[in-house]
Amino acid sequence: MFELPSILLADAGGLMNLKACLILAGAIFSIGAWGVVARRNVLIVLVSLELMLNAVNLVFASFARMHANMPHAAGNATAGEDGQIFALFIIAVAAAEAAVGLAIVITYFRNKETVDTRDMNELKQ
Amino acid sequence: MLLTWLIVLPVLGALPMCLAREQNARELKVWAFVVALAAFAASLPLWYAFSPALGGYAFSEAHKWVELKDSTGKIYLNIGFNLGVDGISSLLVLLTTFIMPISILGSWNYIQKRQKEFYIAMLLLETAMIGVFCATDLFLFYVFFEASLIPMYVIIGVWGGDEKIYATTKFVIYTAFGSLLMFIALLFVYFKTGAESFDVVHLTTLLAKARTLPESDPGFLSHRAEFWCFWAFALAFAIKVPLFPVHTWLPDAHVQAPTPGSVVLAAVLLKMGGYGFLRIVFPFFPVAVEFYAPIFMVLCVIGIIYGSMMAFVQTDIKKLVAYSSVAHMGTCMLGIFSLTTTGVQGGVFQMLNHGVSTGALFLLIGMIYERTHTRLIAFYGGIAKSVPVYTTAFVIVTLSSIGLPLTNGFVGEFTCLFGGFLRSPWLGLLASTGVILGAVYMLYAVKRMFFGTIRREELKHLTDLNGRELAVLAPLVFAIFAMGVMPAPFFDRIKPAANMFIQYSSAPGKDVRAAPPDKAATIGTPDLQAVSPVK
Amino acid sequence: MMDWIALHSPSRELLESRLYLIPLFPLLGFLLNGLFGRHFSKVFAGLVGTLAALCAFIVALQCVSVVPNSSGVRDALHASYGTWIATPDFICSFGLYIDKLSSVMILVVTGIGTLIHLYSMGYMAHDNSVPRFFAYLNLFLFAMILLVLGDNLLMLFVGWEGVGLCSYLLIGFWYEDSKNAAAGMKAFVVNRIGDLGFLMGIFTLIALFGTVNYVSPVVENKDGTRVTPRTTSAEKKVAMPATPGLLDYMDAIRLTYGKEEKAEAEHGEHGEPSLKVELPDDSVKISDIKIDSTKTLSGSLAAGMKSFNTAGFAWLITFACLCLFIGATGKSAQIPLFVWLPDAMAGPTPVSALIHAATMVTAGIYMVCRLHPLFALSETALLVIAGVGAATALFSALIGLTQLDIKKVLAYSTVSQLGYMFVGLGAGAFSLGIFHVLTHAFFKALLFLGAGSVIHAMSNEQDMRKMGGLRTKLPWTFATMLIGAMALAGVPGTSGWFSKDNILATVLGRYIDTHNSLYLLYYIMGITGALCTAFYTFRLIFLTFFGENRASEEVKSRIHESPWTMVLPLVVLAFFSLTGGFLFGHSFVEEKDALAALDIRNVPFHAEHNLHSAHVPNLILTAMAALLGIGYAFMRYGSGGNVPNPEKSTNIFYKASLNKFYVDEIYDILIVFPFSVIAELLHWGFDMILIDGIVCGSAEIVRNLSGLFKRIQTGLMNTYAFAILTGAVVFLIYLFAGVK
Repeated sequence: MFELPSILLADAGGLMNLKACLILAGAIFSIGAWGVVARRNVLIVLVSLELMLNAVNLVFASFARMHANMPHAAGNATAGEDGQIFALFIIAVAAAEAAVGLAIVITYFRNKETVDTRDMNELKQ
Repeated sequence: MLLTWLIVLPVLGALPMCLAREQNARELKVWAFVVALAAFAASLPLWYAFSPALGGYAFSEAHKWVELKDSTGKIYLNIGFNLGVDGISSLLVLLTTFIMPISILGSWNYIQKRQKEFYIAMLLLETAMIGVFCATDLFLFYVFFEASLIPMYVIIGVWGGDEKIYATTKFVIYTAFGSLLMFIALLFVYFKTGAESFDVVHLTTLLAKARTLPESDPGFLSHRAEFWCFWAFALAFAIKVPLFPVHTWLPDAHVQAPTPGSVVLAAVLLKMGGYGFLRIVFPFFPVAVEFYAPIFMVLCVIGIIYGSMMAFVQTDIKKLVAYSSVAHMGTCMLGIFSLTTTGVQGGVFQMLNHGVSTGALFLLIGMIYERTHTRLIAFYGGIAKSVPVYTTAFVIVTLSSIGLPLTNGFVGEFTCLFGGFLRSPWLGLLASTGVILGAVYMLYAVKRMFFGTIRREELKHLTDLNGRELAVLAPLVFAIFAMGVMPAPFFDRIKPAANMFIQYSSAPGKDVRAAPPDKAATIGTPDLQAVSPVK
Repeated sequence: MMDWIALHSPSRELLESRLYLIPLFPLLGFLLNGLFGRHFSKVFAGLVGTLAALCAFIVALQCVSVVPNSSGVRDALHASYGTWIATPDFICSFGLYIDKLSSVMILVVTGIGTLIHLYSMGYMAHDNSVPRFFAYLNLFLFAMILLVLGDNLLMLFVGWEGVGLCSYLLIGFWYEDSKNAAAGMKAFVVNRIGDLGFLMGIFTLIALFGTVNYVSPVVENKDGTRVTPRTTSAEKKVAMPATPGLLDYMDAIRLTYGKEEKAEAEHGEHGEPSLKVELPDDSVKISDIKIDSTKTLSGSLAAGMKSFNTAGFAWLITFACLCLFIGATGKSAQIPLFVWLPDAMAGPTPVSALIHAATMVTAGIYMVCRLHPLFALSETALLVIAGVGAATALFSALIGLTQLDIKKVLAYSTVSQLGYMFVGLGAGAFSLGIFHVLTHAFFKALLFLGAGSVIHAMSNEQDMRKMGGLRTKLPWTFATMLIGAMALAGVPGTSGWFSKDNILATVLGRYIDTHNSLYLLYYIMGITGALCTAFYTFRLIFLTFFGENRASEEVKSRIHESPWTMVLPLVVLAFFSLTGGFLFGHSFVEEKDALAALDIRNVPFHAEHNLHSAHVPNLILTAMAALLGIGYAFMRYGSGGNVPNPEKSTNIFYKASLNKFYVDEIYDILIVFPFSVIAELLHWGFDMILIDGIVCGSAEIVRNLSGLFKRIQTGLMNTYAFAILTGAVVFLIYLFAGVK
């Protein structure tokens, strides 16, 4: 359908194959997205969300590594830190999100005795 | 700092009320009343310590508020908390602070649910209204102008009548629509002129300069641009006034609003429209004002006649008074758009009159509504027998409303109509038919409500006004006569400001009046010169 | 003229400083009765009201006694009490002003007012709201005093509207009958129509002259002595004060454009030259008018009347006069605005006597006289005034022929007599108009009070068909009313004859002088009206006092002569009705008096003897009209058996007259009904459907559109997630496609 930009396809500094990481991340993300869209159980949806977030984390980490190893980054101690920081933030947010989300699900279940998303359409009105 | 204090005083007063409990409604009411009274007392220096002869703004103060800088450190948005009053706005502030305690006292028994929230809303409304009249920064003016909408929206929407949602939505959408246009034009003016602040005087000077720039200059203000901006501002204010044909929100809002809401709406909120015209539109866009003034005068005249005819056919007394507001505000705007000093003086005075008289009428209607729970004129009849004091008060206010001499209504109406007459005799003539029509619809209503024989048993046992209600009405009745007999101090205050606002437009006759011979000054020097007649 | 009442002579300054007392007393009376009246007994309330009127009368008498009788018109008592309205275009202050003209009026108002207050104490004795009644009456006096004593047009207007208000309140005094309230409202609204004209007139005058004052305000020299600036016409010089009033301007214009004419005098002593004013034609604009060598008229204008400056000056003067006259037609019940006055009889009878006969309704005449130099400038306006007056005089006399209600007869006769006054004004005889005001006040107040006495005696019956034969039972009422009727009918020698005869003579003289056949027409209408007047007046007398009593037995048993409080005013008024012509006539007719001198100089005759030659034929005609009318009334009703029976009559004219020529109905169809229908149509068609249609329609469109989009909102989380995902994918594709 379309070609990836050439930088993604190149061997990044001969270390780990960036391409492989990205493909893995893409796969995890897709599984997560499918889970969010297709599954009806809210718990599964939440799990799928975590999957998507972790896929993104993987991408951040990979690119961070790549940046640190770029030729022009030689001697720059902070190169590639941005991606890692982002990943840490996402982990923290994901944890919070899971906590809040699960709390909501539990409360919802107590009230409605269901965790099926098809029943959660009261906002429609 | 007087004005700042005046603005924040009601809010400060409202703060402890937030913590109070609904059960202490009586204490809350007393507190709100005391706060409003305090605000009135605090505003009194605007009357005593204000010298109209000095001209310009008094009590001015300027504080930094919002300053946005771009990457180079240049300020590109400078909104100041600038306050000040001139002869016109000081009177309108006084009107606001005068009406508020009265309407709070008038709502004593009318509001039965959520009393705490109601009085908080009233005090917030007072802050916003005082802010509108005190602001000399255009953006600040806009903020207060919009802020006044919110408490009013709540007051009508929560404590209103059966169709309150329809009425309040209509009210807000109408006014918000106008304000939105005004906001766009406001930003346009600011950025087009490259102004350093939103100060109204500063913007006026810049706009005057922009008009004289060469056409190639990016800052040049073309006629077309001026006219668009004019319409954006004018529409916002015309809706607020309200001028025909954008008046239809008013009757609904008035009828559905609770009594104090109607009072404040009629007495103060409508005045923001006329005030906006004077304070902003006239100095900013004199060319457009000069060009479109005849159109607006025609609209005013239509409003007078049309509003009166509408009032004539109403079956609900409150709606009748609401339509009479359309007619009265038409008179008032006719004076202002005549662009003569007399007309503007009369117009501003008529604003105050309308606040007092129509406010009193709404209060009176609220009082009888509390007793009978209906506002249908046909329900009443002959109640002069059972409630003589109420009838007397109602008739006095009616007479003020139809402009009987020695009440305030006459002075305002006369000067407004005279202003209109100077500008266009025929429009003045047509507008003056409002004098007849006003008598027709008001007296017709009075006749149907108060005279004749009492047909309903329950009307025979109505209780007359109690002490609190008399206390509510007394200051208004006093104001009606005081302003009718001694309008001169008011006119003296209004005059310098009025002159300033219309000096920008080259109204016909302005040349003659360029150096007005001040007659009052010459009275003391008799100058008898004998000259032979021409044969 | 009032030399005979110069009781003593306090200094002029002292009296000037006391002028405010005249309106103050009635105002105090009003406040007392209005605020505390409910605690007063009936008699006390009446006493308060009557004393207030009496005090005002006494002060007025004192002040009037020092009004100089010189021909200097501006020589008057004048006091000012601070500014009322001050705008750059005009300054209006509270000022009181008594010259010869207002002194006549003030004495009529307070004098007859006092008598009627006294009468009311008897008449209203059985009513439940006596304090309210006297409060209103005092308020009326207050307003009327402001009207006649005000030193500027706006003060006049204050009084003008004030008396209108009191009229409204008093007509609807018995408000429990909604017919009375309706009559009051009609009076107020119809008057307001006139007021619209009045307002326009004031506007025009302010626009033209930049002032509402009659004369220059009182000013003080530096050493504290007072200067009343005045024009001195004797030296033929215009002395313009620094702040001229309207009359100062009029004098200046008159002297500037007046051509000195020696009227061809019949007698040597009448040879004082008069000024014939001819304003330039319409080509002359305001700015061309020069009033003295230093300033043009427009230079003194405050107002920039560009739109007016295109009209000619003469046209503008006529316009102003006609506008003011419209105001006068409202207040003084002339065609086309006379319809309120007959309905106003719904009020208590003393009110009809005071307000709707003697004082308020003559305000229009007073106003025209007050501004007579202005009206004198416009021949057109004078012709219109005389025409309207003559038409009203005849028309309402015709209606009066057939009325059955005793008060209605008197009401139409009032309208008719007011018409005569306007005829006089239109003929340029301003002083005679005021003279007729004076005599009419006496005899019409008398007739109304007499009618009130009759109604009082007949247990509130007003229909003359149920009266008759009362002359033995009410001797005082009968005797005094007979005198009043003679004066109204114009029996030679009575006061009414003096004034009416002189007015008609002037009209005839005007015709001889100018050969304008309109004046002849007016004269014929006037004489016909006089004939009708004599007839219906004595029809009233015969139906009421002669023949058999036709009342029910119950009413008959209660017929009694009224108490002294009611009879005393009748007697006093009867005395003046009979002798008023001899007592006061010379002031209005002989030229050496200030009042009489006014009109001769302002609207001079081409030849003086034309006026004199009109007197003899006119005398014969008016006397014949009076006697013929009375004689015919005697033939018809003198025997007492011939009671009018409208049901039997088939005469179309009779029916039309009885139904007031259907004027009310015509107004209903032409004005009231269309107004209501149009208002109703506009309300539903325009306000509710069109404007609200547009507003609510736009809201509706938004709602319908949102209804379309609403379907996308399934409420299912998965759908939304899918939408987000799809969106993100599409966005990414777009982004990367862009990169490539």
